[in-house]
Amino acid sequence: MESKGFTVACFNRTVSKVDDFINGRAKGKKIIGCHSIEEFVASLKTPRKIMLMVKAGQAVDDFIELVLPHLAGGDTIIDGGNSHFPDTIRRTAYVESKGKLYIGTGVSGGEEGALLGPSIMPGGSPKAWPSVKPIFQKIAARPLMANPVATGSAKRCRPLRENGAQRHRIR
Amino acid sequence: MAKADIGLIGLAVMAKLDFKYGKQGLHRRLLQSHGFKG
Repeated sequence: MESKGFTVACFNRTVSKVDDFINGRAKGKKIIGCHSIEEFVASLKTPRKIMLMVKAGQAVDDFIELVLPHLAGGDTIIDGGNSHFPDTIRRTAYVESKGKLYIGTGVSGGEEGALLGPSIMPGGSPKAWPSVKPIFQKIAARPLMANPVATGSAKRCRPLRENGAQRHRIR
Repeated sequence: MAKADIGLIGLAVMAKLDFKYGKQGLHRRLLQSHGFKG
């Protein structure tokens, strides 16, 4: 994201890793290291977009609970992990019930995709799409990003997404 | 610094990058992927 011109704020549960990152790979780049959730949320433009890159499962639910009280209506939580699609459907309904927006998105392409352009398949709250569209479309591998965010969960589209990733690797 | 466009929680993927490639190794792999030898 940073290499595509976006300023990125980052937070990690083990706060020392934020400092390691800021003083290492992120040095001199448009990356803001944050040491608390309050500082992290305050560092974001509104409507806020928060992407979780944590292990699928309980950690996703824990972080949703952690950030939700700090968000306003129209803010979006994005799960970029490998969550099972029924969990994404459940979390979308839950976060929307709190007046916020939620997207579960598969990010495929591995570490090289992360740097050169991953295949992205977002699904969740349709109202979230206008705010995340400029970022997702700019960072993604191009072929599959013609369509807007799907309702519900896009995880059912895994084979299609994987095809996109393979095509990107071949290129 | 200006406010951020997006926030990212979880830096494990960065540690994975360092583990897999290392800072020098990453550059080498990227150059190789674009057709350079070395």
